[in-house]
Amino acid sequence: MKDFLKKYGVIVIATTFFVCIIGYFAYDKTKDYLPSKKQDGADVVFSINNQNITADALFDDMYKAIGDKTIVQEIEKIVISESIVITDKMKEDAKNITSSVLSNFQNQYGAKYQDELSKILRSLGYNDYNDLEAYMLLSQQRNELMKQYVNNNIDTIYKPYAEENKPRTMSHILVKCVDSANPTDEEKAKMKQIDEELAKGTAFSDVATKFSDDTGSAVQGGSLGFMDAKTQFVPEFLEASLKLNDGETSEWVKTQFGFHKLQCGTTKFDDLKEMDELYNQLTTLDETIFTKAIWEKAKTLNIDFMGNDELKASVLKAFNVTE
Amino acid sequence: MKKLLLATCALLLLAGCGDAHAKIKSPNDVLVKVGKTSITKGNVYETMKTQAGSYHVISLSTKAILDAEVEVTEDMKKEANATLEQLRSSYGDGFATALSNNGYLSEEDFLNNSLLLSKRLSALTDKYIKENAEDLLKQYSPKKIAYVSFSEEETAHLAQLAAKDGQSLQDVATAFKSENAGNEQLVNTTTTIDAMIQSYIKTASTNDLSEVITGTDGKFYIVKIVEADIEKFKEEAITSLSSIAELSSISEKSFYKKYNFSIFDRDTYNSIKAEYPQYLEK
Repeated sequence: MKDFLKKYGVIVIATTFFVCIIGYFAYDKTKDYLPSKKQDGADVVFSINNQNITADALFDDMYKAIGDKTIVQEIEKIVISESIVITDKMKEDAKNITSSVLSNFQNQYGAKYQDELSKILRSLGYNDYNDLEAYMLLSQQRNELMKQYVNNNIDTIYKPYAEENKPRTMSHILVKCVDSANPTDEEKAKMKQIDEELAKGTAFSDVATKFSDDTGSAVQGGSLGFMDAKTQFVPEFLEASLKLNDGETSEWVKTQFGFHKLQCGTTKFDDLKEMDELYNQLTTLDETIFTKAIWEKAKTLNIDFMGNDELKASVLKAFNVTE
Repeated sequence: MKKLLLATCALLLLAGCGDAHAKIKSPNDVLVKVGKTSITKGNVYETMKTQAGSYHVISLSTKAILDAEVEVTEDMKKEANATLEQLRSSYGDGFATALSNNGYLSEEDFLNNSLLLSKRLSALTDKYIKENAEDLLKQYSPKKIAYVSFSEEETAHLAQLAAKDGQSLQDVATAFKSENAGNEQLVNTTTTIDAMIQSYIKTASTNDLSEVITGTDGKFYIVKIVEADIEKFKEEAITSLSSIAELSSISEKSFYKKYNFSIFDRDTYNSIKAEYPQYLEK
């Protein structure tokens, strides 16, 4: 034994070390090992009270409740993916939105942010938080599909909406007042100074940046972006905004916040069509626009329900379309 | 040495084996074709499992437990139908839409899988309480007490003297304008009362009257133990346990264990571990 150890000692130690490492690795990999189970050749998902529930039984139970909805979601994903080419801009936007969402979740949920995000993504049919960027990219494609559909159906979608809701871009300069009914001399002087600057021909955006008490919009040259008749502004502000034509500037408008000078940017579709807010508003006011857009594309992709008329009827109902 | 090496290699091979992944029988059956892509039964199964698999597994398991433990009685049916009728008339024409928006296929589906189900779940908790009454009574230690509370310490001391002289706490409450009526109530270790009162009740006996207790909220309390001997109000004490919120989940957990809830699919196991970990505790 002594001679054996003298001769092979190093090999024995190395082998023992190797066996221990493999043993530990194997233990680590198998400690949570989940055995499989079959019943009459079918895979069992779980059992309770000696009842085996197979994957097929679970499929039937889930399908009864959410089958149609799941298929509709899958159709939407495929239609969007097959119809809209991913651009570099979409990729970049998706990446930026993803980092912003991740950072918001981290701030809100701390160490558990991945779990919270995964829960939401799972409910949307994704695996976990790693799929966030894929989801955001699909959202970009979805927006593009909507844009295309609206642009191809201006007469039936945009025009009736625009007549009723007067979409436009708007900017403002606010002079905040302690009591709007009785502006102080200082507040009145500020309004006068703004009027003088505008009369001199200084650009509205420059005056807004310099004088507006609405610090949020002042940094954007007073821009409030897209708005329409349904936007939640105080009534006096909303009414005055909707009266303006392209490029027009209003007189001072009194609200609970103080006095506003308003300027309408554009009401032209060619300008507004570049804004995501327009499409968001259109789908908010009529959610069937999106499903109709999907269905129109699905038809061009020759959607085939493989003879299952019941499924076809459910999907058409979900898309709010008739054939 | 050779044997050891062989055993290690066998373990290594086992480690390389995948976990259980339960699959449906015809995953490649095509349900819908869109352009170049097919939506198969397998795709739909995996998506549904990701979205709501754990919910459906727990829902099916709970139904299996209820079928084994709780009979649907005529009273349950009557109560559930009455609630359905009430909801139907309050929602009016929008009832069918409200049901559909909440994922119910029909009124019958709602009746069976919501209204009757909640009655049966309550009955399951009651059954658990009855079967484990002795242990639960020890754990939650119900007692009958009465107490009065004051914002002024001096008033509390005067009220305590009056109570000590034999006035009932209800009379003391009226005489000294207590913030509560001093009525007798059944409390247990989970009842929402000031921690200092809970602490006093824990060791006090029947007919004990506390000195003035300064609560954690800065108020001044006087507590009377009306009855600490559970044997004297056992039925009432057992019934009162059903108001303990945590007992419904403790009861379900115990029945999952009793009926040997076991999972044979890794994805399902992981999602239940994340969303319903209590049902996996052995």
